[in-house]
Amino acid sequence: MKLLIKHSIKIFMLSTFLLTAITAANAQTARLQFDNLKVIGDKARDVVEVNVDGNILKLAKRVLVKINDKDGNAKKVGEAIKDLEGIYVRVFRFENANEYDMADVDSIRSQLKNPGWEKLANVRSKKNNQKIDVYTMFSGDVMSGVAVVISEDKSIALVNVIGPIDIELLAELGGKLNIPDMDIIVGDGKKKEGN
Amino acid sequence: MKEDYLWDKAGSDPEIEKLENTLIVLRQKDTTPPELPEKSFVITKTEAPQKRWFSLFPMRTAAIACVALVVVSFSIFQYLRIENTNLAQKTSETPSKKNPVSVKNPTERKQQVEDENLITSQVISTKEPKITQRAVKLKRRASARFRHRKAFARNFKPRNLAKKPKAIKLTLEEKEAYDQLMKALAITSSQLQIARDKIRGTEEKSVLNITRR
Repeated sequence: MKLLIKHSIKIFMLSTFLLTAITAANAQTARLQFDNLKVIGDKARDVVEVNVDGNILKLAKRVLVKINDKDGNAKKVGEAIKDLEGIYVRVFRFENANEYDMADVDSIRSQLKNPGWEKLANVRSKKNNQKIDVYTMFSGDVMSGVAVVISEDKSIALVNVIGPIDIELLAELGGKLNIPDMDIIVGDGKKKEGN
Repeated sequence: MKEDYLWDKAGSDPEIEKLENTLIVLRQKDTTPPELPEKSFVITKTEAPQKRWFSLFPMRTAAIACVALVVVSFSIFQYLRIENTNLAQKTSETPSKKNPVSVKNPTERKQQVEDENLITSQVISTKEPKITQRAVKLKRRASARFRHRKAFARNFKPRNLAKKPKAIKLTLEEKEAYDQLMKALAITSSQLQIARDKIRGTEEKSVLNITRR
């Protein structure tokens, strides 16, 4: 009897570990690899690179809780990114059209063909050679990732969101995301102007 | 002691001479006359004089203030004068207009004069309460206005101040993190909006194409 209990505990622990590992693996797969974008970055006129994850994200979430704005947009954003694990953004702007190699962008698009990613929208327009791809990844019923790839003649924008996020709300709050209309006191009373 | 010796050294005075001989060692040996002070003086520049109290209140400001005071007092005076004339006009518009009745008979005329006197006395007697009523009304109105202004001043909150959000104390790291997140979210949302608008646009176009067919 003792042996049976021991074995069942071991099996339970093993299965829990496996489940956690699978979930972690799923979460990992939602992350796109932007390593090969360095070539594009060298050619671009403007490069925007934003990585928000780990401790930075935790800090930012803490700030959002502190903000008590009139319209409650900060609260909404805070709610929308409550379980967010990371956001990775790359934007490249070029001086002239077709200054970059489309193969580099396609390598990112090819990552979205991996199992788990589901196509949400796909637009191809001859105007400015615009290509828009929006993909989502779900683990069960919960969204675990979003990927947006927009390429045009003179610009490329890549967004990779890890973790559940309310896309509709985020799109709605687009114009209001300069929420920090507030006085920010940094450190010991040193006042900085609100954005 | 002879005083002549003291005056012009005439004769001799052994006592004075003894004193002279004793003090001769202290006599000034230099026979050149002493230097007189210079006729031209060099005036050294001293520090700027300390500001007086009226220098803090420049004459120009004072003049402007005086003019403003005069203008304000004149306008108040004018306002009061107009108010008084209005009041007087209103009171004179009472039914004291004389009816030109031709009186032929002196007794009747006397009677009429008496009646007129009676009427004017009545009018005068009725004028006073009207003026007081008017004054009371004005006073009430003024006090009400004053009260209203007082209440307004009490409840007044400037818009900008009311809108001004509460200051939040953040560490530098928190500020950086927040800015990063906002930047990322702003770009993400704008890209999502572009995608959404594009999709909606293509959907509308396709709907239009279908309806045209």
